[in-house]
Amino acid sequence: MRDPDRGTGGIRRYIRFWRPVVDDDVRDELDFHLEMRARDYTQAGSSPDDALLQAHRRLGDLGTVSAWLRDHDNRRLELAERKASMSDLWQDIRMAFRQFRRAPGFAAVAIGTLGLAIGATTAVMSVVDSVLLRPLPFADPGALVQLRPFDKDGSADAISPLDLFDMQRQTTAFTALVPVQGGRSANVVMAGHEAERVNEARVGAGFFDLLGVGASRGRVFHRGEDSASTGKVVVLGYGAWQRLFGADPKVIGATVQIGGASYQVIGVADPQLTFPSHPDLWIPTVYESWETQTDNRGFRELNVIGRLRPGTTLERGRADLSRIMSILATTYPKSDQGYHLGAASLTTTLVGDLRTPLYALLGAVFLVLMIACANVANLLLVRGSVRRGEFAVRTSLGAGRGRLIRQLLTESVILAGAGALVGALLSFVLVRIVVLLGPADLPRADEIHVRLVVLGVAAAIAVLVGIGFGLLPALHTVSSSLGGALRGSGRGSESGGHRARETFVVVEIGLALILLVGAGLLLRSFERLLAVDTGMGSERVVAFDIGLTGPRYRYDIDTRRFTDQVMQQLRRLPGTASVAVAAARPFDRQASFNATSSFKITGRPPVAHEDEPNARVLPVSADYFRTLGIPLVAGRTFTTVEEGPEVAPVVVVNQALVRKYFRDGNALGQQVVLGLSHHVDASPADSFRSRGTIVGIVPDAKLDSLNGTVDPAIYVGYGTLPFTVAMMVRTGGDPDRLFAGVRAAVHSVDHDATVYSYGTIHGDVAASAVRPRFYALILSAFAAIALVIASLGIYGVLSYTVAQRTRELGIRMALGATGGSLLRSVLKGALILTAIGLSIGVAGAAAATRTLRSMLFGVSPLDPAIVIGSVLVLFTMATIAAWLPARRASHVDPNVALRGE
Amino acid sequence: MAGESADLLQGTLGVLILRALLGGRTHGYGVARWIEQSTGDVLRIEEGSLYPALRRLEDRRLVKSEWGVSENNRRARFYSITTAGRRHLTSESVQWLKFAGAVTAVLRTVPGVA
Repeated sequence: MRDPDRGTGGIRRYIRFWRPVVDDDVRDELDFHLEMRARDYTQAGSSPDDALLQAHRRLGDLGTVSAWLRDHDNRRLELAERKASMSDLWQDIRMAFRQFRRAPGFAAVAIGTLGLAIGATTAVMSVVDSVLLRPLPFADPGALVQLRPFDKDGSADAISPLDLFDMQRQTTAFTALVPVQGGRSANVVMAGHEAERVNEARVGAGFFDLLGVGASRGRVFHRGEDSASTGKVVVLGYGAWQRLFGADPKVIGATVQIGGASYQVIGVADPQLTFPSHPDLWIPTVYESWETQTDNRGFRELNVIGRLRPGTTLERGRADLSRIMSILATTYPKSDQGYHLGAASLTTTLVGDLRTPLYALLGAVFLVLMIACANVANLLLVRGSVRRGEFAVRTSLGAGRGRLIRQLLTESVILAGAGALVGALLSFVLVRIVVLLGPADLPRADEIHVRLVVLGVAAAIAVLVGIGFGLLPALHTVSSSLGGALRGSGRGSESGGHRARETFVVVEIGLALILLVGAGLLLRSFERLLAVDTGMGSERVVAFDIGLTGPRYRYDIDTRRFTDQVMQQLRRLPGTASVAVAAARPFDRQASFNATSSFKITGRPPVAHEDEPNARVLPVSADYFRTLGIPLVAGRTFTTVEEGPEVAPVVVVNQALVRKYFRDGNALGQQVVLGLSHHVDASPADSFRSRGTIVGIVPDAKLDSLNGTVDPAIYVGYGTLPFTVAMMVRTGGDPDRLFAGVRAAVHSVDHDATVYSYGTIHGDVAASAVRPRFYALILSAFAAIALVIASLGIYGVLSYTVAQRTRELGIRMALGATGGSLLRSVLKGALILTAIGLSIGVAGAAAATRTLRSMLFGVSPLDPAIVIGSVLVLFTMATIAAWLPARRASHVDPNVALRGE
Repeated sequence: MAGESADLLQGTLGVLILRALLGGRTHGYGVARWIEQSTGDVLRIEEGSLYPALRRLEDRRLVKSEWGVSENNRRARFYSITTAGRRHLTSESVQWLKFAGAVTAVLRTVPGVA
């Protein structure tokens, strides 16, 4: 007879975990019953076969009974298993918390490190998600397209109304093409209120339908409401409705003056709608009259957006536009030859050049996260080594390997979960900080929130971190515990853990170096940017814009009279050194005036139209150069008489123009003829003198941005000016105190004029560097975090190693080693690790910083000074982090060390 | 009376099993045999329902089971009564005897029945 326990039964018991055993048990039990019964029948005299038959008959339906039993037993087993695992989990959790209470420092460092990293990651992901990834708040935003026109030399241009009409009629790929002009400002006056300056958007009547956005009150434009024959209507922005009209519902139907004309308010737009350029109100563009002006096809000033027909791709849209443009080019070669139309998704154009910086930040923050994870894994390893005794005891008490690993994983998942919680709370704060510090023109800034999705991702990261970075230490701890912590010193499998810890340190140092180099490059770029010579002495220069409204300024000469009077008043203000007027102030991102013109140089042989010289035209007053501190290189500037409209035509040019078009340097005294191709109603372009003698040359002042190049420029006397006037005052006093005086001066001439965008030129220049500063700031913060975490990692590993080696070091001391030699040997080990990490980091940085290229200014992606500097910084930190435990090693007391074991 | 059998009243099987186990731990067949023998084969239990009944008692923690080796060296599941089982058996027996006594008394008063 076989032994049921040692034989197959034993095996069966062993594979009980896989549990086909229930079926076997049921069969065994019933078989035993049948056998016994059959035996009794045999003893009563039946033949064996007959006995078995009777036994079966006696039992009844064997199939039904055993099925019932199997079913029942399986269910019972499942229930028991579920109960057991629940209680195991609960036990693990309670044990984990007991662990953390026993080692609060470890728990705090781990949770803090993870919290910081997860918080930063969540914050940056929230920004990226809100700005780049979330669909625009429009209906089917994927079908929205921005048209991108290019003129013959490949530079960006606009679309002329006449071309647009043809495109609207001929398109097959778009359901609508609508002109959209944002970023202009206008005065709004409502009866009984002071005039306010607002951002206005001029859009086609189909604008709201195209976006699929409606009114939150009243209505939006009807189709065809952009015709001159319909009444003038306006839709208010939700924010402007609250700010300017105190959210008064009665404003709908009221009449307001905008830019001197009367408009009826028909509605308030959906609060979500901030396109284009956060306008306060939308007014229908009226271009009907252009239909009759057949010679104005070359007048291009429209931005156009369109909606693709459902199911149509962007590619087909582009093809459709080229088809139309090729027809137009054949029909109107004079204006449309060589002119191209591209198209891009509206999302892309709105986000624009932010893509690279935001992805770079995302990359950086993931590096921080990885460093944090490496560090926590390291902490877990160290912690595991400390607890090997505990695990060995539990193993000897019957805890399985899987059970112990589960315990450790539970601990690390709880740590990561707590880290995620801290991180989630932190991310709310960080996101606010990002929005506050971020560039003012960060698109969709008001949409940036920590979102549920992002929090979900953070939670997922936490679980991954917990399992991923807890698993290796857990496996290692358990196997080394089983390896024999009970067998005395238990040093047998230590080297494996040591190797893992060293690897983590190397990785941390490498990643930290990448961040440090990146931060260094951005800081250097920012510094270089600030060091750029603007070509102006802009200290103590105040600039502000004036908005004029109403029939008083029907003629340009009226504007001129107004500015003359205001300038007189301003000159009387205490501390005023000089006062100037221009069509636009320097570093004004939203300048409504930006004219370029082709020109001819008198006496030179005529060239083809597209080869004609080209320059920016800048209408300024005589004192402009003196006020802004732009010195004169040669010749003279305008006199106050020459700036006016009725006198001898003279112009001043910059050195860029001389370099480009007067290679012999003889620009003074030459005559230029401005070939104005554009005519704009409300622009001063048509009132430029078309001809002027160059009387002066000024340096290349940077007027737009610090990192851009300076275009050739022609300064002309401002003569007459459009409704928008920029004024500049050089003062010896406090720019802030001057404001009241400026306002009073302007209002004394015209009470309905508005003074806005008041600030110093210096401030405007600094504001233009806000983005680089922001990126440099964030990346520096990341690098600082990485530096601290990596240093902690080195310190933690070394101090643990030293503690482990106390006995060995003690023996070496007893054998005559000096403290200094021990210090050197410990330091050497650490610095070798650091060196390996740094060389990996340099290679990583070489690859990573290439993505930063477009964000850099005046510095190469692998600037040697920055790479070497970063290496030195990390090396120093690593040395300090290593020195503290190394010093402890050199102070080991041999007696204590030897007794300790 | 040998060979004749009576159907068990609903719920009686459990009490009989517990009573059978009172004599010590045994396997399912042992339970069946004890019931047959102690009633002189008057109560012939439905064997098909014996094992489910044992499971139900086990679910209620009135009996427990374990695998062991039978007298003829075979692997068999042995059942034994638990403390809760004993308590249950006592109270059930009292109920049963009370009920049986009452029924007997009633039947005795009927004329024509000996």
